[in-house]
Amino acid sequence: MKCQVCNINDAQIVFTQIVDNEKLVMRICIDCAREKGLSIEFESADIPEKSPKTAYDEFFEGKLNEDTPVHDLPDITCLSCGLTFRAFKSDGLFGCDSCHEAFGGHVKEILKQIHGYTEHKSFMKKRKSPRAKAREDMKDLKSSLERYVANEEYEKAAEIRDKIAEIQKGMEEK
Amino acid sequence: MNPRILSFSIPDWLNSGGPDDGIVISSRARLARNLKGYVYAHRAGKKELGEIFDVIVDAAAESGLGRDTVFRTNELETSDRNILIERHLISTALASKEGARGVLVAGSESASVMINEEDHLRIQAFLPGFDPETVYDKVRDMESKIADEVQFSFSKEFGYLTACPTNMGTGLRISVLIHLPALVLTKEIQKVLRSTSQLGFAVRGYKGEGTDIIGNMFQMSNQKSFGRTELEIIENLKTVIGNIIDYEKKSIGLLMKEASSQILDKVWRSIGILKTARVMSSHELINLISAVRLGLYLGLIEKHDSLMLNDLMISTQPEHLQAKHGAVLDAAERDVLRADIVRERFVDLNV
Repeated sequence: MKCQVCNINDAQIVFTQIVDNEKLVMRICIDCAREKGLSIEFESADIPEKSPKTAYDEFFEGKLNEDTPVHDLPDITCLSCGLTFRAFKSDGLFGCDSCHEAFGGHVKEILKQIHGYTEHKSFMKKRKSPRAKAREDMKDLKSSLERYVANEEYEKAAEIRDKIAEIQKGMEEK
Repeated sequence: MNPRILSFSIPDWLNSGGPDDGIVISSRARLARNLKGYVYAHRAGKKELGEIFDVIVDAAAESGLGRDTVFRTNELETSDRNILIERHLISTALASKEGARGVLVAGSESASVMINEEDHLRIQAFLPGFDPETVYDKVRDMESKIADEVQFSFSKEFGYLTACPTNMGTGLRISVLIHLPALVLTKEIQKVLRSTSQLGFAVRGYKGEGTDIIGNMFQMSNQKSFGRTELEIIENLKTVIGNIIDYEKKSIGLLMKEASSQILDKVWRSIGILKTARVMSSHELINLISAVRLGLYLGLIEKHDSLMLNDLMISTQPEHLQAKHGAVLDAAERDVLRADIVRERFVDLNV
């Protein structure tokens, strides 16, 4: 973009000036700026103080409820904690982990409005801690041990028994 | 333990040295979880809150996270709660409520678990620089350890169940604290903020929800936690923030091409003020730090000083100043003490 003043140089800097109570925004080059006695301000002036509101923000502030007259809201109550659908819509918070079931299809609608989707998606498997993994392994090994002993495969059983001892030792050291 | 003791140390996550930390100051990941079989915190009575609190602290201890440091906010003085808020360990929402609530702080403050805020658990981790993957791994690891000891509310249909529907699904909020002086100076920041909003990002001031944007610092986080996997959320953040970083770097290049003497002048004048002022408001300090940060990025000042800048932001806050002084101070006195501390810190910075 060219400088607003000389129209020759490129202008990358924007200056704001308050002139007669009005804010002037000018794109000018450094030479013209110097001539006019303007300097750059480092303060974050002129950026919106808060980010623009989105459906997400508006749900949070309960604004999505304003259009629905109260008597049109379905009369549902969560039997687990006693929260009514009306109260949920006005506060924006569920009462317990059974509410979403109690409120049924309405929850999906709200999720669609906020997140744009109605289906949960999670491919990240919960990684088991080493201790939990060890416990699982132990279960498997113990049943293998039983099997080998039942089949009189004592050598194999002995191997498993050693493995179990190793894991147990490892768990105790933690 | 008294939170005041924390005020004398520097949290790990402010340590400089993370990737790209000229522009991204820190990365944060947070997972929201609730215990199965208990009502959500805002509806729980005193007794139930106490039970939830104990279950969580016990689970953390069992899982090896230790009881490290557990603060019950409802048992603390206001001044102590303020220290925790100033160190970003608890939110003001948590601090203001009665009943068994608090925070468990682990590993030199790089990780914490808020208990009984909006959800039973808010597990968070911080890292310096731009590293959303590692910080996610860190928080997921903590979550897994606790998950082994308790049962979280979860449904196949809706994923992790949270008090607010805005957090359902993954329960993940991942964010970066990013410094964009050049985009602000060239007024390109408006464009950036519009597109981040369209791309599903919330932008806040560096102090978090509901605060103003100052010091050219922005907290950017994903708005949506549902209907996408954790990996997708992270990849999206990496792409968008990566683009913003490039844009900022280009803008810095342009500014230096067109107005290098003005930029250098601004940086060095700021350092001059920091080295000599006798009175300094926090607002002024934040803006001066922004100029110095740019100077750091441009290689005008030695790298190791960015830790000092990061620490200054935390340790010159009102409650921290009062803790250092050992008594209550009014605003004017705080401004003087702040200037003293700042001068001290900048004494070694070579001009």
